[in-house]
Amino acid sequence: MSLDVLLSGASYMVDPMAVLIMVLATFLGMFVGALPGLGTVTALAMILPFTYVLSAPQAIGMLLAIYCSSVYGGAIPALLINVPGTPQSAATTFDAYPMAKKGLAAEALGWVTAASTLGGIFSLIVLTLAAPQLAAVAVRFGSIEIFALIVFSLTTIAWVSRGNPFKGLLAGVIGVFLATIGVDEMSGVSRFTFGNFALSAGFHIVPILIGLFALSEVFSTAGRGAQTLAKPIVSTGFRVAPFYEWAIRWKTLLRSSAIGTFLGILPGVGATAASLISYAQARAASPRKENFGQGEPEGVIASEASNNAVTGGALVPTLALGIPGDAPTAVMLGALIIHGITPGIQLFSRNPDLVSFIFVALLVANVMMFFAGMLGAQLFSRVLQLPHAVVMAVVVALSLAGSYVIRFSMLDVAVAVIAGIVGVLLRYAGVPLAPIVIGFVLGRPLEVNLRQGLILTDMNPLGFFKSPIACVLFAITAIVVVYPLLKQIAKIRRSKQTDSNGDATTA
Amino acid sequence: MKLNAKLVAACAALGVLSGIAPVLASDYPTKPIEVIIPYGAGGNTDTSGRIFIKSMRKALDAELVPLNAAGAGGTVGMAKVAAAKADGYTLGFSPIAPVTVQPHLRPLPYGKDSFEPVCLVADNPTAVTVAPDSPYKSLDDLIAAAREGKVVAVGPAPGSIPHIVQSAIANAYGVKFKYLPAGGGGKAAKAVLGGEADFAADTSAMEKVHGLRSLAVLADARLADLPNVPTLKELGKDLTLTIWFGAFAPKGTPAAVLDRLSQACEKAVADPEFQTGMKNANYLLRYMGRQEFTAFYQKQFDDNQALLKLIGVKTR
Repeated sequence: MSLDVLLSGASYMVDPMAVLIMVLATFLGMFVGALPGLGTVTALAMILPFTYVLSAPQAIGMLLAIYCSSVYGGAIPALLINVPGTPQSAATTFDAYPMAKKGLAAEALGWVTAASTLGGIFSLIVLTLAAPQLAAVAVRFGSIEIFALIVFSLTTIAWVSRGNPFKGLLAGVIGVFLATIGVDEMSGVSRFTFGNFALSAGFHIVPILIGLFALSEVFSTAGRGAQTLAKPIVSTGFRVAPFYEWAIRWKTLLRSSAIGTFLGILPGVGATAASLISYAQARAASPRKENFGQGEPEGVIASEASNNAVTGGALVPTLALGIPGDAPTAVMLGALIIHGITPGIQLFSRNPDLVSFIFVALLVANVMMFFAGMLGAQLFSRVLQLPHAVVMAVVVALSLAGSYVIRFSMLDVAVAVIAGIVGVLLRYAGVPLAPIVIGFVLGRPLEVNLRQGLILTDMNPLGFFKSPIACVLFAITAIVVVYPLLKQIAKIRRSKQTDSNGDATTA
Repeated sequence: MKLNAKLVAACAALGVLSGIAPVLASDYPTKPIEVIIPYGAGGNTDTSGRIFIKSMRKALDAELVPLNAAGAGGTVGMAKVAAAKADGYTLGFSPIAPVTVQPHLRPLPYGKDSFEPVCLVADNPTAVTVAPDSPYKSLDDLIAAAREGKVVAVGPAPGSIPHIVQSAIANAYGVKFKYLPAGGGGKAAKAVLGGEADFAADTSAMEKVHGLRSLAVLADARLADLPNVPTLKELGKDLTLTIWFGAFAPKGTPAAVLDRLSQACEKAVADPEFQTGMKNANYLLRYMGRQEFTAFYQKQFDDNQALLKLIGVKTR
C-alpha cells in the first residue's frame, strides 16, 4: 500500500462527525466489553441498526472502534474483580487480578491498556503491509494443517494448569467433551442431547465462561464470607510502567502480538484461544516463569497484546477474501455488505481508498482506546472501593442477562448457573478452570479438522504427514511434550547418581 | 353531550369487539414485533433479514426487532417461532433449509403445518463454482474428472442445500463426488481457494463475493450478473435449485394479521432502499404474497423430501 493511497484514506478522517462517532463508539465498546456477559459480538450487533443511517466511512469507523475497544474492555473487570468481561480476557485474570489485589490496580490498568494498544497496532501494521499476501497463505492452511496447529495449541493446557498436570488434563477433556454436545456440524446428527431439543443448539462459550469465571468467583467469594471484604490499599488511576520495565519484556510483547495476529488470520481459531495460547507460550519462555500467576506483568502483556492483535489479524481474511476471521468480523462483514461494500480481493483493486481508510481508522481506534482507558481508569479503579456485595450482585445480574442475550435462550442461563456451581466445586478440588475453556474453544475445530482431514486422506491418518506444515507442527508438539519429560528423567537419574556416588565414598 | 355519548358507546362496542376478536387488522400492530433470525449476526440470513426488517418498519409503520436465535442449522430459532404465541408479534425470517429440509432429517418440534408463510422476498439460484485458477473450465471438465473419481465437493452438513445440489448433479451425470462437510459460504470458499475442495455448489453470489469462477447455474434462465455462465438446463440436465428467504408466522395467526403483514411485505419489497440493499448484498429479489407463498412452501416441503430420498439421504 503506497503512501499516497494511505493519505487519501486518511482524508476520510477529516470528517469531524466520523471522529466524534468513533470517540463515542470507543467509550461504548469499552463499557460493553467491561460488562460481564456482554461481549464484542453483542456490542457490534447492538450498534448495527445505528450504522444504517451513517455514511459508509462513519459506519466502518464506528464498528472498528467498537470492535477494538470491546476486546480491550473485557480486561477491566478481569483485573479489578477477577471476572473476565469477555471470553477473550479469560487469561488476563491470571496475572492482572493478583497485581490489582496487591494494591497495584493503577499499574495493572496501565499494563493492560498499553499492551492492548500495542498489540492492536502491531496487527494493523501487518494488515496494512500484507493483507492480500497473508490471506493467500491463510487459505493454504487446510484442515490437516489447522488440526496440527490445534494439537500443538492443546499442549498449552500444561502451562495454564498450575500444580497437578493431570487435573489440568482432566479439565481440558471436560472442555473438549462439552464442545461435542449438540448437532454435529459435519453430519447433522444430534449428540449427547438425550432427546432434549434445546440442547441440540450445543453450548455457547459465553455462558460457560460466565459460569466458570464470573459466577463461580461470586459464589466462592460469598462462601469465604466477611473476611474478604477487607479491602487492599487501592491505588486509583492509571499508571504506565516506565520504559525499562517494558524493555525487559519486549520479547513477550512481540511474540504475543504475533501469535494473536497469526491466529486471527486463520479463520476459526479466535481471540479466546489466542490469548490463552499466548499466555502459555509467554510462561514457558519467560525468565520470570515463577512469577506467573502472582501478578507478573508479562502474563498481562501476553494475554492482552494477543487478544487485541487478533483484531487486525481477523480483518485480513475478512477484507481480502470476504471470509470472516472470527464471530465479530462476521458481524462487520454483514454491515459492510449492507453498506454496499463487498469485501474480497476486488475491494483492494477497486476501492483502495476505502481499504486504506479502514487501516487509518483502525490506527485511530487503537489510539483512542488507549486514551479512553486512561480516562476511564479513574472511574474503573473506584469500583474496588464499592462494597464487595454490591459489585458481586451486579456481576450476577449482568452475567445472567448476558447469557440470555447471546441466543435468547433460557437454556444458556441455566448453563451459566450450572457452570458456576461446577466451577466452585472444581476450585475446591484444585482443578484449574482455564483448561476447560481451552478444551472447549479448541475442541470443535480439533474434531472437525481431524475428520475433514481423514475424509481427504481416505481415512488414512498417515496421509497427514504429507503436509510439510503439519509435519513441522507435529514435530514441535512432540518436542514440547517430550523435552520436559526427558529433562525430568535426566534430573532423577542425576540425583540417583549423586546418591550412589555418596554411597561409594562413605563405603 | 349527545356526541360524547355516541363516542362512549362506540368505544365500548370497540372494546367488546376487540374482546371477541383480540387482534383486528386495523389496530395491529400496537407493540414491537419480534423477528427471529435463526442464525447468528453477520451471516447471510442475518444480513438479508435486517435489510428486510428495515423496510418492513417503514411499510408497517411499526417497530420490528431482530433477534438472533442461532443453533442447530436454524432449527432452534424456527422452533421458537413455531412455539410462539400466534398473535402476529413473533415472526421468523428463514431460508429454505430450516423450514423445508431439516424437518425431514431430524425429529424437530415443528413440521409442515407449524407455520403460516407470510411472504417470499428473495430467491438465489445455486451455482457450481471452482477456484479462479482451477483446471476445470466447464462443467464437462469437472464431470470427466469425477469419472476418474477424484473430485471433492464442499459444503455444510449432508442434507444442506449445497450438499443436495452436488448430489443431484452427481446423480444426473451418473458420477460420484467426494463430499467434504466443511461449511457453507466463506468456509466453503476457503476450502476451494485453498485447493482442499474442487468445487462448491452454494449460491450464485460465491463468484462476486469470494472471487470463485462459476461453471453452471441451477436456474431457469441465465443470470444478469453472470451472463456467460450456462444454466444446467442448457447443458441438458433439468435441474433448478434455489436458496430462498421468506417471512413466517406461527400457525394460527389471525388471517387479518397475516393479510396486513403480507401487504406490508409487498410494500417493503417495492421499497427502493430494500432493492438496492438486497442487490448490494447479492440477493435476487422475488416476491410472493401470502397465498402464493403458502402453496410454494408446501410444494417445496414435499419436493425437498422427495429430492432427499432420490439422492439417498436418510429421511424420517
